[in-house]
Amino acid sequence: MINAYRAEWVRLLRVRTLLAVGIPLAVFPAFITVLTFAAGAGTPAPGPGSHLTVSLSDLTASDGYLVGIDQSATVIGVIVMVFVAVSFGADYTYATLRNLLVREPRRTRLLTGRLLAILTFTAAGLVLAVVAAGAAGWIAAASYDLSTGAWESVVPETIAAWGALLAAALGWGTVGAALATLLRSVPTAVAVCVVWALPVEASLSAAWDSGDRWLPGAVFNAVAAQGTDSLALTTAIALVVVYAAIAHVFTARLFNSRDVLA
Amino acid sequence: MIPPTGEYVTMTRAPRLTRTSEQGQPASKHRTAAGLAMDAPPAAIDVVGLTKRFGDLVAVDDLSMTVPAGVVAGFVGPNGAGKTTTMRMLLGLVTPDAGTGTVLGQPLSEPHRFLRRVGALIESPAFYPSLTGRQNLRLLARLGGFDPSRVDAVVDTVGLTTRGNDPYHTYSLGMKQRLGIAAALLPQPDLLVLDEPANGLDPAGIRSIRELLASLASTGTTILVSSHLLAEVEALCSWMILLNRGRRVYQGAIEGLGADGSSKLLVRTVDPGDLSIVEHVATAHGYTAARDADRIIIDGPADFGGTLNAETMRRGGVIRELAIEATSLEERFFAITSEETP
Repeated sequence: MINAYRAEWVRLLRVRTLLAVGIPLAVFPAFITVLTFAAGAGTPAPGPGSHLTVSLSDLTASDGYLVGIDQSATVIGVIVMVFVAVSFGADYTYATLRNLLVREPRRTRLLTGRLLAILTFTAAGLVLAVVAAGAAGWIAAASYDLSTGAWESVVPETIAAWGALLAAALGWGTVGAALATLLRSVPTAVAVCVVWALPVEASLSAAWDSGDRWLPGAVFNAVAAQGTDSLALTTAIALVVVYAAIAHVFTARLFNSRDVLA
Repeated sequence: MIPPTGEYVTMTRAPRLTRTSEQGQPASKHRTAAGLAMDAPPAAIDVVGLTKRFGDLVAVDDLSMTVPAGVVAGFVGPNGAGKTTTMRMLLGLVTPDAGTGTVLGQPLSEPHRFLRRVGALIESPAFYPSLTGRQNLRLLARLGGFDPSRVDAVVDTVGLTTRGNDPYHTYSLGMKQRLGIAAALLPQPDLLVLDEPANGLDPAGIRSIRELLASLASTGTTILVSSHLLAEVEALCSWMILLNRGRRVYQGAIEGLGADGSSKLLVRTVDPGDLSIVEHVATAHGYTAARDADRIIIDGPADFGGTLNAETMRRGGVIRELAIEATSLEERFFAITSEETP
């Protein structure tokens, strides 16, 4: 497994990969942060019927500079899921799986080592996301002349936000690996990832009252937001662990049972 | 030591021509799982009853085969004969539906026990297009736990030194093939499994691959190589396994494939009218004879020439010219596979 972990870094530490993952993870949360401040700075509190979910009081709270992370959690999760799906799906597209399996025939070790490497890389990318969102929050607060008096415990708040994102990424990533292994195609896996995470989950949540507490995407987002009104953080983390374990066992069983014919 | 034996097997499993000489073998000889009497050392590959089905299609059908350690073995057969599927089973990529065996003395069902000593190139080379040749090899070296210095060594061996840092997608077909062979050489293998290694190579490339394989064979590496270039197989290999429709139809020393009398006698007589005497003598001995203008072509062994000449003379005919044409591997290949095809 260690060899698989080390080998995967040859692919990960390429300029193309760094840019393909780093740019969206940095730019999108920062952009959402700026938009959130623009919308929330003039709203003391969301009024009845308002579509705004962030108010001035949220922005000036102790973790107000990280509000963009909560708002962009789904998109960050989709980026992570797509990245993992592309990483695993590429081996079917390029038929490289047979080379890998000749060098490491213990398939569960290969799968787990590679997934851990990708998630480690993702963890570094999430640092970038949190830092970019936080920096954008400080700049936006200054430009809207908001009070930052409550923004004192920057380091612990930032680490907590990063840890929550990472826990959510574990869920998104294992689901991405499962879809890529199941579908054996990058375009199909990416399409399913995006469609499931965005319109399908949203539709199910709208149709099912308890969807916010059980649907995988909603659970992962609840962890990223460090808990929601409907799902406590500890419960959400436990559910992420369960979903990730189910996804990984499913992927491993599928990966072990299939002949490699490409 | 390569046993100078060969074994034909028909599709109905009954031996058609058995050239395995089992009588009078020294006591030290042993029998492999595939039933072949061999001298030590043990077989590099020894499998029995390998079977793989894809739906209704039986890709590999009760295949038993042995590749003695240290030989260069040709693995030949028509398209769809089951060569690649068999190679994939030997490498743990495809799980057999039935069958057992060993590779390098380790159970076939536990590929991690032997693959560290095996190099393989299956079908076309497959690498990450945006990684350079060296990066692709470095990834595989790390995955296999091999010394990183092996990367530069194998890149030099296959002649990619100057292009090793270029992205794989910029490589020509021949260069991709060379990189595939380099990847197979990473572990300093005891067994090399190569599926059509000459694909895409120009004549110079084919020659360099032939020299490379000969060099590896001289160090004791066992090589199982499938190829459609039968002349290459004939030039390179000392052992041969012939598949047809998923079944083994021949296994043994490559000389054994032609030692069944698969030659032709081309006969001309002083008086063309004597050709009928020659024809009569040949058919009387059970050989097929066919007229071809002023000569007769007899499908028979070379040592029939003396008998033919003597009997023709006894019956009043005079042979002017008697040439023996050895059947090429390609002709023998087509003869065997067409016999086995209903």
